[in-house]
Amino acid sequence: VLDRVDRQGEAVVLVDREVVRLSPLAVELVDSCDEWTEASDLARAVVARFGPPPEGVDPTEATVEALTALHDRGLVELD
Amino acid sequence: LVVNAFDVPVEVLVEGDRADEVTQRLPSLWEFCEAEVDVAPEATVLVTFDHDPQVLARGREAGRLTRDRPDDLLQVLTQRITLSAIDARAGQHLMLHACALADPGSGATAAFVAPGGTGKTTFVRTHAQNRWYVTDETTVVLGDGTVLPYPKPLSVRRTPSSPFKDETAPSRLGLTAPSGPTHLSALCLLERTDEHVGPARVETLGTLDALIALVPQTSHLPEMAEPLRRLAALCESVGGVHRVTYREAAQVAGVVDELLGGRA
Repeated sequence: VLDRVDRQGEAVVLVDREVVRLSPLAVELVDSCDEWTEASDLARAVVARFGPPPEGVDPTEATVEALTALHDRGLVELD
Repeated sequence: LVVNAFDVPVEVLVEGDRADEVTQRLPSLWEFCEAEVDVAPEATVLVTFDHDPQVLARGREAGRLTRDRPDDLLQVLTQRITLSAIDARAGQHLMLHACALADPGSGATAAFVAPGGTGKTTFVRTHAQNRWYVTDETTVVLGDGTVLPYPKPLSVRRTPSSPFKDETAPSRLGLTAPSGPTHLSALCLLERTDEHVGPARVETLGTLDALIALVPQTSHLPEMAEPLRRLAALCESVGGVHRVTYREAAQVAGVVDELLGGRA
């Protein structure tokens, strides 16, 4: 990430020559990934901050899906 | 000839038996971009213009700018000069794909960001009377908000429906070059669309929305230090970025008047 601007819990980052907007949830995930962290721990942190996901959605699975999207944009590393 | 493209001296060297057809026209076309005498060029554009196709082919192979017709050549030469100057300032200045006009009384400058081919030149021609013509292509902003003028020749369609464009000296279109300092006072995104109905619509974007819209219309942004933070600070220093949606450039007259003051 070349640079980042935060406003009201959201952010915009510059990755190579591409600009990417991060939702508050994405910001929470990116900022929680300074060190290797289990997806289940991240899911617990996200639920604590934003509340539970809609009924029938597994928090950890939803978190892994979000992490995969962030990984595809070069914003987090996945094991 | 050396032209001054937002303070980058760009040298144009033309060879070939038709070189005079180009070199004789350059001083008048670039009348508002005269470089200081004896200034050292920071970039050079090499051009070959000749009757002999083999000479042109050799020039092309050597990386020189060539075309068969003088009007085509002058048009791509302007583009090459712009790109050379942009490359020379990579990582130093904020450079936006934007036309810009300034109020002669205050030097306040409004930049209107839009991708190539979406009407920046038409916009300038429509709104430049009694204002300073800062540029129709590349708006260069320094860290303190100073705008470096680039009042280049304009590519003007021969007729409204013609596919052909002619490089045209700004004064032939009644435009006036800045004669004093210019500083950024407003940033707008132009969204021209044939589908728009009614008067121009203006909305002010939040900083993050503005960054998403502006970054693709910058040159060499990643080479700058703190590029996003700098762009965000600029947007906020001028009261945010205004997105203007319209069909015909004349519909935006009220917006331009509001940003730069009404015309005298």
